[in-house]
Amino acid sequence: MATLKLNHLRKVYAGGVLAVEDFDMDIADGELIVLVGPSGCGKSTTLRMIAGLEGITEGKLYIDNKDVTNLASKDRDIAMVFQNYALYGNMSVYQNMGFSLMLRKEKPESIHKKVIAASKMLSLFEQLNKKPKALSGGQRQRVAMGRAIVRNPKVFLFDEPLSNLDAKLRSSMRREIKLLHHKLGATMIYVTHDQTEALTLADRIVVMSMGRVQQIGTPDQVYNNPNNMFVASFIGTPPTNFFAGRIEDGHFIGEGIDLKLSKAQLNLCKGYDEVILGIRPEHVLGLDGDTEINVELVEHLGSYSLLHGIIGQHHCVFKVRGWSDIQPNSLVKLKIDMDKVYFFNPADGQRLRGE
Amino acid sequence: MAQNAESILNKSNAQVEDKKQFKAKRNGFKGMEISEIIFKVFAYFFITVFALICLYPFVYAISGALSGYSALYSGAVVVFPVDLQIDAFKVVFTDNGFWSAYSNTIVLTLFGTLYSMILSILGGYALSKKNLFGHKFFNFFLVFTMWFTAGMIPTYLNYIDTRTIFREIGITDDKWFVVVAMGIAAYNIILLRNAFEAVPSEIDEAARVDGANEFQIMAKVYVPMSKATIATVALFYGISRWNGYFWAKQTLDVTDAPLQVYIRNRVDQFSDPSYMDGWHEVYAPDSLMYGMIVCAIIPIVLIYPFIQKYFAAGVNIGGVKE
Repeated sequence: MATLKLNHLRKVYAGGVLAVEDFDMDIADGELIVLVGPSGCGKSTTLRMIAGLEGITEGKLYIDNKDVTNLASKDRDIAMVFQNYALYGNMSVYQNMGFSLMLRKEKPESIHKKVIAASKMLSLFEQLNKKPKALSGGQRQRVAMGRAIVRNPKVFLFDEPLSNLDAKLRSSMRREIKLLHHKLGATMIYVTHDQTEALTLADRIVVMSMGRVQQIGTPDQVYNNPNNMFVASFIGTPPTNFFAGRIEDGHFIGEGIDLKLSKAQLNLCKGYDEVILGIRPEHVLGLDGDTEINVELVEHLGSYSLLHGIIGQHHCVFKVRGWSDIQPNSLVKLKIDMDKVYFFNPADGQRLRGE
Repeated sequence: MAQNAESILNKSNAQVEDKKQFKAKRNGFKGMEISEIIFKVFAYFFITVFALICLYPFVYAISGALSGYSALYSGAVVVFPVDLQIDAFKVVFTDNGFWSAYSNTIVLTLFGTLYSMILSILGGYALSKKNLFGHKFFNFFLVFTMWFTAGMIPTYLNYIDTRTIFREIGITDDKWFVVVAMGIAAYNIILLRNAFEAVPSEIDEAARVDGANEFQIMAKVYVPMSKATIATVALFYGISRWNGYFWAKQTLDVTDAPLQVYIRNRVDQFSDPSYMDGWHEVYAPDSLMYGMIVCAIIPIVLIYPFIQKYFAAGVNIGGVKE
């Protein structure tokens, strides 16, 4: 268990490609941090810099207040779980899990005790003598986690560990990782492109895009209080609907949309004639409002239905409760929950928060 | 209760049950297209013919060694021995020169292969690393020697010079200079380099995070994962040392000469009419030669099945998700 300090980390690859820019963050002891973002956003590079698998171009990295910027991986006391498991195919599950301890020249009795304990924790006891090829995907990923657990490292790093599993297994493994975190109380950094994993697992989420941190916050903050249009659209499925428009006579007026704003909202938009309004799909109060949507498609997902349609020229999607009987090509009048809308600066996509 | 519900749910999963019960049936040619049947028949026919062509010299050597003088020279021996005798083998077994050459060959093969494998594995591993300083240059350097081999004379000079150096530093047993002078073959290093390159980079990174140093990563992860190629290369080296003739004939004294040189010297002896004048044995000189050849190939034939298990490809299956 440890604290981490990522002090203005920067990574530029040999070809001059900027992968990570000014990553600055303090991680508390026992925190589970999830780095989330689309492919190529720099989240894996950040994790690999922490692991010591990539050099740090600029900035400092501290683990437990010790500068480890230039230390080799093996001297950082970290353990990593890889996306494709990275198990040693020539070794049994037992040997895979005990390998790092063996390299540290621990006594065989101590190795045995730790491997047995970890295998029981991960329900792998019966599989200990098997080779990785005899295991299922979920079991292999558990072996990879076991390999990390036996080490009792200062920091656990997870690099998209569930990406190769099917949907059902992914959700059960997600639960196991969360329980594991509770049980071990260890500091964990978890990289994923799946926002569901980020929201369900994280103590704090770091949303990244184009090598830059877009927002750091609890799942609640990131979901309900996004910093900018990227965070609002990346976190949440389906993504937030955006409408461009202008502020006139206390109203937001866009193509096919006219919404009356509260005093507080007008205050937020003060100084801007044109803004972008964001509405999450679920923030619809009913079908008795005055925002007309031309429904193109209805997707039934059991407990709710998704209405895909057009407002003005904008394609947008809204969530309504239950099994909706709305037919495609019909006009519906949505009542939008005005307390939940966000306003963004059209110039840079940043959230308008008033003065 | 929850456990029960889950097990009932699993039991009711028709897909799982289907998967468990499915067994591939062997139906021979049933259900095959005509073209497929013709292809299979021809394929098996040619493989059988090829196997017989490869096998026949071994069978003939054994039969020749066990046949009588006149039967062998009259051409009566085709597959099985004619006028069975075992005197030729008896002579081979009691020939001290033969067994001394045999031990020389064993020493050269064992230490030669071991030394070559150590150098080739280290070289192949280093060259497989993209971050090696001068990676491209060293690879080119190696491949260049394969494209443009030096030829017989420089190779011979290399042996002689190595021998001179060895003698100067006080190593007078000439077998060791052969072990060193024949240290590596570029082609084998490339084979090993390719095998090491095929190990996924995540495995290397996982080992690094686990605390392994460069040598441990190579010895405990890369080498075991590349068993098939290592066995192949070891067999290449081993067979080339075991069957080595030219370099040994040119550079080693008679007392250090390996098996192939000894057999060749004996063959030369048999073609000398003055030596053959007093020949009154029940077996032909050729039978003696065949006897020696059979004894010489036995170790290779015996070792092969033990090495074969390493040829099973896919040691790393399941280690990483492809």
